[in-house]
Parts: sequence; C-alpha cells; structure tokens
Amino acid sequence: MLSRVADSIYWMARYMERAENLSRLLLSTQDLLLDAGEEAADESQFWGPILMTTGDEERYAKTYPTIEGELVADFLALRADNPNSILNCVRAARENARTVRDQISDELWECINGLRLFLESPEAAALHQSQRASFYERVLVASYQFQGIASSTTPRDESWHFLRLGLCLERADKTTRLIDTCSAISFDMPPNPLARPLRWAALLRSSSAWHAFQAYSSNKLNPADIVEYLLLNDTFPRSFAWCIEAMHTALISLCGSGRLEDMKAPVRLLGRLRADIAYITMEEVLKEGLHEFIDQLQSKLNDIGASFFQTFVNYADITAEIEDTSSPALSVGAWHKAVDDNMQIQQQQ
Amino acid sequence: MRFRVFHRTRYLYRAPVRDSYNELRLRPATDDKSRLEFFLLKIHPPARLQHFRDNWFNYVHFFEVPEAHTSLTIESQSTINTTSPYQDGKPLGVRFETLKTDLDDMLQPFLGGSKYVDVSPEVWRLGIDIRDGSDHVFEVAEAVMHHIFREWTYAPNSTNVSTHMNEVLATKRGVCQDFAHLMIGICRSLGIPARYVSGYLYNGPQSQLRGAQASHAWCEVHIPGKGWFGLDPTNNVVADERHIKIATGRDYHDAAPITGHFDGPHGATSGLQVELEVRRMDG
Amino acid sequence: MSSLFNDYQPGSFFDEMFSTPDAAREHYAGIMGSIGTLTPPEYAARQRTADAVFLRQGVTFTVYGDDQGTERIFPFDLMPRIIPHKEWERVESGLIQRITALNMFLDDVYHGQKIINDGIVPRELVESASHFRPEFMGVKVPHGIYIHICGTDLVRDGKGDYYVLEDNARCPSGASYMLENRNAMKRTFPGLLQSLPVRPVDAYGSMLRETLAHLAPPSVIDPNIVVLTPGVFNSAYFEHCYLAKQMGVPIVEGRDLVLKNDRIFMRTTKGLKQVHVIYRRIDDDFLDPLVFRKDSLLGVPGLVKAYQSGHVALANSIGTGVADDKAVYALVPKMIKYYLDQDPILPNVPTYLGVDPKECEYILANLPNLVVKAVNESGGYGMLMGPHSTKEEQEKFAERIRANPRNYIAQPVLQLSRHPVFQGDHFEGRHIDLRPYVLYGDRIHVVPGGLTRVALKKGSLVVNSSQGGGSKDTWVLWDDQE
Repeated sequence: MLSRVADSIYWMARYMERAENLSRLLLSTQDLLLDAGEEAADESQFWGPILMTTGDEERYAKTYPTIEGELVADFLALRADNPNSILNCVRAARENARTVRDQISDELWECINGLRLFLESPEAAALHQSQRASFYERVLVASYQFQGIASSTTPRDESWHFLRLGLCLERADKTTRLIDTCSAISFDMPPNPLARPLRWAALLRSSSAWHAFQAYSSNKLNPADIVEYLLLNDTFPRSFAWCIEAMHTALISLCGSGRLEDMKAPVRLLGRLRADIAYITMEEVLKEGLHEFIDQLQSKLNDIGASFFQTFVNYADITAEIEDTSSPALSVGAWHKAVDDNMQIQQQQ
Repeated sequence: MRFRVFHRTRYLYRAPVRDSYNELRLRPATDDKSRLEFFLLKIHPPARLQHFRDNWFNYVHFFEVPEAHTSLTIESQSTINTTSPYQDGKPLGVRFETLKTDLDDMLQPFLGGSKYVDVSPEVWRLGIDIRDGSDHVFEVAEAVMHHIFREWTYAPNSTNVSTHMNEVLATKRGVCQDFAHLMIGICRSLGIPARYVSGYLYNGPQSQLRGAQASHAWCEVHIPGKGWFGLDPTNNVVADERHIKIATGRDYHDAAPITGHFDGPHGATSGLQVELEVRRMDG
Repeated sequence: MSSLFNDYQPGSFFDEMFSTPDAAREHYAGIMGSIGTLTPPEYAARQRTADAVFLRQGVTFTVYGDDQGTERIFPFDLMPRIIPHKEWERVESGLIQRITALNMFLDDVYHGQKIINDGIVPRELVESASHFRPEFMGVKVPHGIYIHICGTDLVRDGKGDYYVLEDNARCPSGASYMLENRNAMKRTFPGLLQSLPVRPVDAYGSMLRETLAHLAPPSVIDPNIVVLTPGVFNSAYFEHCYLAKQMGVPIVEGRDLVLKNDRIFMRTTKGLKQVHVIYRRIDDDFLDPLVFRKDSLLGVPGLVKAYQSGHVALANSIGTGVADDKAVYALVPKMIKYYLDQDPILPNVPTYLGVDPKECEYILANLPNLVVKAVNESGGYGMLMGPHSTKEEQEKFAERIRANPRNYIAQPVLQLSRHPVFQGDHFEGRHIDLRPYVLYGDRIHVVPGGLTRVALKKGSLVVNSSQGGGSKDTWVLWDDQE
C-alpha cells in the first residue's frame, strides 16, 4: 500500500473518531446539566474541561468573553474558523477519504460524504439551533455507521489495520485527556452520600461508559474505581488499556512481532506500553500523581504516532539512499487543513 | 462479406540503415465486386506517403526514409466489403476458339513469359495432358487447379520469394505464390490469359484453408466475353468473396506487397515480423 | 407524440432528435417509445433521482477562480444523445485517421522533421508553440507513439455535418463522466439499455489498462501501472480516482514517487516499489521541477531522466501539446495528406491564424462574426464569442491579438447542432458537442460513445464544464445486421 494512502486512511479514521468524541462530550455534558440542579450553578466548571480536551482554550478566549454552554457548543460544532470543530473534523476526514477514494468502499465514502453534506447544509445549522441533542445524535449515528460500514466492507489487510490504528490512537488520546480534566478534583467521596459527584458522572457519560461501569462496579461512582476502569480495564472498548491492546494487535498484523533485533520501532514502543499498563496498579498510579502519569502516557502516545509516520510513511532510513535531486524535500502526509492558497492550477483538457 | 484487415510488417536491422526507398501494394483493390470502406497506411519512422498507379492499375504507395534507422514498420488497416465474382455461376462452356477472336492488346502481357513464369515446352506438355482434349476454357483452368492441388505438396519454407516456376515444376512443392506461378504458366502455355493476384484470404475462425496467416496469392484467368475469374490452386477453390484482392500483375514481381531497397551493411536485416488479422464484421 | 415534447421547438438549428417539430428521427424511436411516454412530472422525478445519485457519490469537479474551491456536480441531462451506426463508423474512421496522423507528426517533429523540411508546416509555427519541448528532440518513446489517450472535440453544423473543433492530446478529461453518465442511465431506467441496441462503454477501464500495459519496457511481464494526479485540489481529481479504480491500479501524487538509479519507485508501507508505466494527469510544465517549472511541487524530480532512459513510460508522452496547439490544428488536414496520402474524413472548422499577417487582418476586421481563441488556453478560457461580445470586449481582444498574433486563431461561428434538454418541466433545445475518446496501444480503439457536452445557458455555444456546461449520456447504436 502507498505510504500516503496508509497515512490518509489513518487520519480519516482519527478525524471521524474525533468528531464522534466531540459530539458525545457536548451531548453528555448538556444532558447532565439539564438535571443537575444547583450543583451545576457554575456551568463553566463543566464546559471549561471540554475546551481543555480539545486544547482550544486560547482560541476560544479570543472569540468569546465567558465560558457558557451556548458559546462552547457554538464554538465546537459548526464554526468554520475553528479547525477542531465537528464540522472541520468531518471535513478533514472527508478530504482524507477523498484522496483514497479508490481504496475504500463506495459505501464508506458515501457515509462520510453524506455527513459532510449534512453538516454544511442550512438544515444542520437550524437543527443545532433548535434541537441540539438531535444534532449531536445525528453525528454520533453517522460515526457508528462509519465504523459499522468500515468493519463490514474493509478487507482485513493493511487498510483495515491503519484504520484501526487511527481510530484507537485517537480514542486513547481522548480518553486520557478526559481523565486528565478530573485529575485536579478531589478523590474524596462527597460527605452527603446522596449528592451526586457530577464531574465523575460526566466523565463516565462522556466515555459512553456509564452503563458498562454500573454493571462492572458495585462501588457506585468511586472516583478511583472510575479512573481505574477507564485507564486500566482491558474489556471496555474505550478504555486506554483496550485501545493500546487493539493498536498492538493491528501493528503485529502489519509488521509481525519478529525477533527483538528486527522489531520495528512502533511495535517495540507499543509492546512496552501495553506491558506497563497491564501490570501497573491503581495505587502506583495515584502515588505517582494522576496528572503526571497521564502526562507520560500522552507523551508516549505522541512518540508512537511519530514512529508510525517514520516507519510507514516517511521511512527516513530508506529515503536516505534516494538520489539527491537537489530539490526541496517533499512531505508526504495526510490532509489536515483548509485549501492551500498557493495551490498550482494546471490547464485541464 | 465485410472484413476488417490489420496487416503489420516490421523489419529489424542489425545496424542502422539509411536512404530506404519502398513501394507498397497494400491497398485492397476497388472494383464492381469489392468496395473499400476504410483504408489507412502508417509508416514508422514517419515519412511522406505518396502514390501512383502502375501499369496494371495497381495502387502503389511509395515513401523514403533518408535518415538512419534501425527498424521499419509498415502497418495497414482496411475495411472492405466483397461480393463473389461467381454470383452468376461459373463461366462454363466458353470455347477455346473464342480466345483467338477475343484477343485484346491488354491481354498480351498475360500470355507470354515473365520474370518468374516460363512458357516452356515442358509446361506446355503438362498443360496438354491436363486439358485432355477438353474444349472449354474455364473447365480446363479448373482442371489445372485440381491437378496442382492434387499433385503438388504444400510445403512452407521449401521455397522463397524469388523461386522460379521452373523449380516448382521440378520439385513439386511450394507455397501459394509458387502454385499461382505454376498455374499461370500452364494456363498461358494453353493460350489462356492468366495473371497473378496478391491479397488476403478470410478462412473463418475454424477453417483449415491455407494462406490466412500471411498475405495470400492466387491466379486469375481471363474468360472471353466474361472477364477475369480467380482460382486458388493452394486451396483448390474458386476465389470468391473470401478472397480479398489487393494487386494483380504478370507474376509476383508485379504485385509484390512490399518492395524496396536501403543503404546498409550486407545482411543488415536481422528480423522480420508479420502480423495479419482478417476479421469478419458481419454474420 | 408524447406530451413530454408537445411544445418542443427544434427551431432553425440542426436538431439531433427531431427532424421537424412533430417527427423524431428514426434512431430515437426506441427512446420515444420508452422514456418519451413519461409525463413531465414523472420525467422530472427521474431527473431528480439521477442528480441525487451524482451528489451523494461525489461525482464532482472543482471550479477555479472561486476562492471556496467549490465542488459542483457536472449537471447531467437524462435524455441521451443517440448516434446511429453508419454515422458513428464515419466518426470512428475519421478519428483513427486523425490520431494516426497526429502521432506521426509528433514523431516526425521530435526526430527527422521531414514535414518541416518539406515546407508543409512552418518551422516557426512549431517552435513557437508553447507546448513544444525542444529538450525532447531525438528521444525515443515506446513504439513511437506519443498520444495514447486522445479526446477530440467534434461539433455538427446546421446541416448535421461533423467537424473537428479541437484535439486534446495532453491530458484529456471527462472519460469518467462518460462512464458515470451511463451508470446513471442504467440506475434511473433499469432494463432500458438492455432492450435497445446500444453499444456498451464499460470496457473503457480495461482498454485503458491494456493501452498502458503495452507501453511497459518489453522485459517487464506484469508492469506496475499508476495514475499520477496533481492531488485532491485538481478539478478532475474525481476522474483520476475513478479511472484508477476502474483499472485496479494505485493513484499516486508526485510526493509518492522517488527517483533512484534512473528508475521510478513509489513509497509503500513496505518500502519502495518500482513503477513501469505512469498515466499522468499532470501537464508537462509540472511534471519534473528539474526540467520544467522549477516551482512545481506536483511532479517528481528526475522523472524526465527516468523516462528518457526507458525505465518508465509516460502516457501521454511529453511534448504532445504541440499537436493540439490551436494554430497547429489548422494544419492537421495537411498532415493527413502528407503522412497518410489521404484527405481528412472529418474536416476541420475553417480557421484563420493570427500568425499569418493576411489572416490576422481578416480576423481584426471581422471580430463581431468570429470566435477568437487564445491558442494556449483550454476549458473555454481566453475566448471571444464575436456575436455575443460587446464593443469594448472586441477592442480589448483586438489589442491582445495585435500584441501577440501567434497566440490567436479565429473561426466562423458555427450553428452548432442542438438537442432537447430538460428545463424544470419541459424540453428546450441546447447546443451540444461530442468528445469521443481514442486509445492508442497496440491498435487504435475508439470508445463507442463519448461525452456529449451541453451548453446549458440558453443560446450559449460554450459547453465547457467550467463555463456552466452539462453533459449527456451518448449512445452509439449497433448495426442492424450485426
């Protein structure tokens, strides 16, 4: 498979997952606040962390004076000038899909293209104004469709593995960021057992883990248990541990496990991380400090992402042999941003 | 019948040759029996293509390649619609004596010897035997065809382009060109005007007829008051609508599909590739 | 007559479908008996279905000069354009003749230049053509073929005679629309095509692949073929992908390819893999920054070197643009005479060359009655439609012509043939042209059909997609006897 194609499939999956996560985050936060009562008197306490997970606090602050649900939703849903909005994530997913149209099924393409056509339509803007929940649900359903179609139409060859890598890396990244938004909150249970620790509930809902966790744990809403579940449990398909395992499996399929000396860099990095996660205890995590621990995971994820690029797309080791054609190095990579103004227009016949 | 013919000849030279001059007789003949719907002749290296009509009214293309070249490709495509000259049946019952009264200057060249054909006593004796006292021109010509088909052996590579009729007469083997020459010789010795025809033969997807893998040759005899009629001694059949006529003449020399010369070292030609496809378009 | 065409007026033009307002031509009988029996609302519903399919599938092109880089669907009119068998045979013969002559011309221009030395084509005209590549003199190309894929634009005049409007010998586009239009017809009217004697076009992908495979170096048995695209921003990106998918070959961008030992490789997830044939959809200028435009990021540094060394083949070859130069166009009949010893089967539209001082004078004196075209632009850009232009536009053009006469040609305004086109709830006549596709591999194949382009604006003669044109499916009928 062409390196660029692998890269685009990887990013297509990442952007779709990112759009899904954003929608869920916005939807669950909104739902939660609807029946929160006075606990949620300070809305910003709930909306602020969402901006943290997308890393857009600064950009937001430039446009909006205060952190309010209305404004955050506006900022993250359909703003064309926010590169991380749902609209732009779907556009980016669609552009990446477009560059590999010949490699993906027509159904998959039509699913992504259909979602993007919807998001660009006046209908979408109206729906987001009037029935916000329906709007988010529509994006979620499209994303589930995407995954369903991908799973039932993608051959289990390289395309599939790169798709899985993109999806799981994005999900692992989002899960750690979500957990991190709670790392500064006290792990103590509220004195009044009836008071719901809202932020922790929000964490579970934003990860689609509410029901799964209820079934799993008898110790309702114990913060340490929740974090452990989302971080170290390898059965729940949004937990960090599960994502790492899925990525490791995909990677082994791509390049085999092999002997240590032949092992490709990403296999080594992921294998090590998988072992760390499998054998670490929650006590150790807390002892190190949740935020610090997550920081480390984040930087490991970054290293893994970079090593994918080096190994499959850019492979500096091989390109070093390529003749120096005394031209500027051309980058190989997926589609990330809006139209390049310097694009060259050629005559078409 | 409607045919599409693709004919490509490619000469490869060991060393560059130059100043090549060539004459081509590749354009299917057009007359009341056949209509040429499309024709295209392509030369590589590209050169200016021109044409003239030779003594026998053949359409002759010619071109020059002065620059050095290591291969020469001549490619012709035609679409042609043919009908059989035998639509009204064979011209039977025409007597030998009419040959004398019908004599026309135009037929003179087709009665004597030519480059590859001799009207020798030897061939005349064979002719007399085959005629066996018959007095009908076409019937005798057919008998000549049957005789050659029966007594001569079709043997590819046993002869070459410049094999003379006399050699064929002696060895009793040859290919279509040789059989046509022999038949022409016998007919002429009996006073029947006979000429050489070069062309293509459509032998159908399954047929065993010879001559379809290369350009074909047969013979035409002139029947007084009726005109020219083709007979194919190689296949022992009359030349009907499956025989696509290109050029006619006294013998191969007059009708050769490709002739030419070039400046180059002795034995420069290292390869010759011929592709020929005759495809029926209707039925 | 069906109610769909009750008020249809063929007008004073050659109408492809109707010989008089009441009589459809014989080859449209099948259509009149099927689609023709629908009521206007039924027909409109089918048209909407077809439009929705195109949009959902993203069968789009990008419009330049619009900062959004907007993607649009290429408007599709359901009523097919039909060409009877006999008429098509003539078109086919004419195209085979023409592409043969154009290829011989290119081979000659880049080698012996006999046609120039014999005074048939002025040297100045060839050498001043902007797509002439002197760097390519003497380079041997596989099988001596330069144009492997050609899209020749044909029009019919008021009498219904065919003329060649222009040749597209560089990267002709639109074949994907030809294929998609046929698919849309099949989906919108299931079963209809099987019931009528329409020649299929869907072998195009495999024929194209065969044509390309023919170019591979002779030692390669199973060549790696790729489609080289400028990228997703290119107006024809959909087509590049579509054709790659039809052929089952990868689509690559310049950055996917690298040069090593005079060979071209693509970067794959498993390392470098050699490429033998490149169907490039990038113009010469952008192909190789080391040889042509230095600022090109679309091409592959060293590609020309690899091509010259014979390790990789390009379709179309480099420098083919000199054959579709609009001034060189005027000389194609002379080329046909020179190389093939024949008269053109499909005539040219009479053309006046700005480069000829006498003809230039004529052009300047007759601007209101002529179509003036800039030689080096395509897609309907840089054009003056005399009868529809204002005095100022004419003056502006006259100035440009005087400044650079070589860059302009002029042709009389042809009364292009028209075809009924659905306009909301009824049919109106619109001008059309035809772009058939010719593939030149071991043999020459003309795809039986092509892209019929429609000038959707009332009265307009410009059919280009970038100028508000649409398209139709084109049906070539089988011979009754076959």
